[in-house]
Amino acid sequence: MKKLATVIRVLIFLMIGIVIFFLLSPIFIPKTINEEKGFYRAIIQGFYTEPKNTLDTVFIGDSSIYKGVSPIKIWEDYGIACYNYASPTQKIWDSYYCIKEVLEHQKPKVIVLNVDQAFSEKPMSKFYKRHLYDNMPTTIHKVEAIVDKVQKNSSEEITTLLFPIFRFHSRWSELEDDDFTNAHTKLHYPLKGYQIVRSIKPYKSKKDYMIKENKKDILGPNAKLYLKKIKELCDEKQVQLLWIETPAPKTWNKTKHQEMTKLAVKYQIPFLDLNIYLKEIGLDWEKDTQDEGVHMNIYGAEKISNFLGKYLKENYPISDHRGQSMYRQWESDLKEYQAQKAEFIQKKRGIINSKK
Amino acid sequence: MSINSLYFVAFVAIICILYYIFPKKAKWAVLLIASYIYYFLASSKLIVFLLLTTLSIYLIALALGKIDSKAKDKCKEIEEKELKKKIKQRAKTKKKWVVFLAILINFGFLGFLKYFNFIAGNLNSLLELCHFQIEIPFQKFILPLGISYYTLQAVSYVIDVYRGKYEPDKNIGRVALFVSFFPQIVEGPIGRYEHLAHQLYKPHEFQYKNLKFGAQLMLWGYFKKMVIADRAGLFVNEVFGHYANYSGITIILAIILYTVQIYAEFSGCMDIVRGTAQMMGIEMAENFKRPFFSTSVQEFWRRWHITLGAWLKDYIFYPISFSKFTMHLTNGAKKIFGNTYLSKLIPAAFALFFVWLGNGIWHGASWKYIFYGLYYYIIMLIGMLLEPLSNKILNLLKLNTKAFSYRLWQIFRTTIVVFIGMMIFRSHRLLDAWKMFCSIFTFKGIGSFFDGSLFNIGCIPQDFIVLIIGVVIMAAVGLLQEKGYHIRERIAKQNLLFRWLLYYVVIFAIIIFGIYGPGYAASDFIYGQF
Repeated sequence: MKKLATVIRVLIFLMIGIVIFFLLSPIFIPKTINEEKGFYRAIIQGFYTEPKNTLDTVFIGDSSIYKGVSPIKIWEDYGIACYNYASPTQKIWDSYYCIKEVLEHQKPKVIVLNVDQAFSEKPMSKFYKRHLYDNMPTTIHKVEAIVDKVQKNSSEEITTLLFPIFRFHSRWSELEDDDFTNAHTKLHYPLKGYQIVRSIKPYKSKKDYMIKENKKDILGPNAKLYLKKIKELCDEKQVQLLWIETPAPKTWNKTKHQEMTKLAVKYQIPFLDLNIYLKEIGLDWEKDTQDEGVHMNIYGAEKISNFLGKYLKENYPISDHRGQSMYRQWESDLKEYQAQKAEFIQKKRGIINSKK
Repeated sequence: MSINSLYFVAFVAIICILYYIFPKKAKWAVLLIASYIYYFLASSKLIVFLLLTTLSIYLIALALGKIDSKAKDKCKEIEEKELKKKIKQRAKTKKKWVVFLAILINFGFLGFLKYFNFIAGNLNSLLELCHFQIEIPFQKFILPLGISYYTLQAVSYVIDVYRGKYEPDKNIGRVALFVSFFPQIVEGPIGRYEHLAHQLYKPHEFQYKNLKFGAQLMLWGYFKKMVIADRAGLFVNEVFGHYANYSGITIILAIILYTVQIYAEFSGCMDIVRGTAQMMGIEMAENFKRPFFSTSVQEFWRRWHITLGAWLKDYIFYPISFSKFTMHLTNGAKKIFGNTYLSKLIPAAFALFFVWLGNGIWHGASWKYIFYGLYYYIIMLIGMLLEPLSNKILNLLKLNTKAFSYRLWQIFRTTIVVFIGMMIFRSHRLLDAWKMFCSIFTFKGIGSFFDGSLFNIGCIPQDFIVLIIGVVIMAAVGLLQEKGYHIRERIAKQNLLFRWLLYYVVIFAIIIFGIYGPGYAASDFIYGQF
């Protein structure tokens, strides 16, 4: 009896300790959201402030998504509720776990996966892993993603990704009010996972990159495996899957297009390669790219979003939610987007305001 | 698996659970397997040296026992006293050779791996000086983990068997566990067979008090190591690494902080080791007893790294003191100086020389360490030589040596000597230590104390605040222990709310203020290098 009481006492002590640990941990994670340090925290955390099962579409992928697709523009044009659950250089296996995470909170009609990173077998850098996983709540999917061997995480990385306080405890001397007030509050992100980019650096080449071939561009085993897993997951959850590739003259080519098309046909997944719809989108490489064709800026993103919105409307049973009481917040988010866009274009703002 | 890692904590937790789950007869086996797993994870192939040491001392101790028993049996059969004496003498000589073999094997490993390059370097310099065109090539040896510690422990066992202190152990498992017990393998304490081996072998029943007190001691050790020692190390590494850029007050502060660092770190490690063992009901020898309350250098070394001092006393000082040569020396000194203080001092000084030389050499293969040992030898010798004179002066001035102020002066004096010793110990070379020592007196950079720039060296001012708080807590704990308070017993008497609050504060202070992880360079234990 005495032994049992001791065991119970030790367990209670440990449990209280664990609760304190998880309460303290988020205080130490950096919370800066600005142009210089990135909007990753706002993008990921904002997703969790969306009411359950209200999103029609979730875009998954890397920077091509959070810089190239503006969900609120799709809302403005078509009344479709979308969100970008994206992070820099997000690999296909990371996307798989992101989709798992997304499907715990939302039941979208379509999951749109950008396949840009399908030709990379290298895991994300430590830096980018932190941007995704530090801002994700601690769930079984996050744990699975971190311990997955494909990530090639060292034991130290696993420990610090699972328990960020071990990585960021040294911030104790630089903590600000924001670190405490925003530690346990998810910030609503009116831009729905989109990051406004205002700079213009034209893509000058006149050559058609879609006739370029590169035999080295083949899908690796890990990418193939996780593309298959994503398909199986979406089938299991009865969510439609759409593959897309945003315009990327610097990284995309004919070989990649053919590889993905082959696999899409095999899995019977629609594949919308925007690189072959440039005219329909109306993309102007002189004005619509941030960095010579690698990423879109606000002008390019709005055009792509309009095109994607139209595609979704025409191909999926998604209704227009504009005016619906449940989506009232989206109207004020749209206003916020428009205001921010105006300010951004006039280069007046460097920091995005996030509402609690 | 560093002792200050989460993996070690998890490892200890698992071993603790297994230890109490397993039946009584298998408990010692759990410890032995855990110790070898721990050692293999840290040293992989180098485990062979540990095995060889274990095997050699086990077999040699048995051989010593056999020689003894054979001699005894023979003596029983014989009546003649003279013949008995001869048999005993022959057995003694045989035993001497056998124990010498054990010492040769074990110190041979240690000496070869640790000191080969040092000896080769010095020989090369000598050969060059004599214009010889020969050069002994340097070798890249990796030192097996804890070899300096377990070798002393292993050798002490064989010598004790040789001396007839106890019978040789027939159980190889017990001997292996005594040599390899995982918490102590990296930094000691250097345990003695008669105190430790049976404790390790004996099954211990689960006791909440052991678990609680052990965990408390571990926590306190981690606090000292990770919050105090490693934080002090940020400043110390910068100043000692670039001492030419600093002088005066900065150097003084670096020496003080290095002393704080090494004490907090080494004693912290001992707390972790002793705490780990205590969780399984094993009481390990203490290695520190508040050394900074010492009133003399002799006392300091009785309170600092106690088990090394005791080993040197038992296995170097006594054999040399009672050797034939020292006996001759004593008689010779008596003839020259009569029965005076000096004639008693000479043999003691002779034996002590080897103790301090051994102390220096043990710490590392470098002249710096040899000088470090001899520095204390010279200080002690001067103290011993001047003792009659200082006693006379004290009597003349009628100073009350029992007064608190006098004791404070003695502590201050001892601490200054220790500070200088630590400066030698931490410097890269002897010459660096000398240059640093000289630069203290330039009194440059005093302004850095007032404009705050002093507190931005290697760390930030906030680090100094944490450091000061940590040192004050450590000093307060030391003071209470010195006054005879049993802190853990006192804490145990407090209400649950207070106790748990205290534990959580310490745990989260370590997690938050500890120097570890990617934000800081990994910091190994200083004494783990020896």
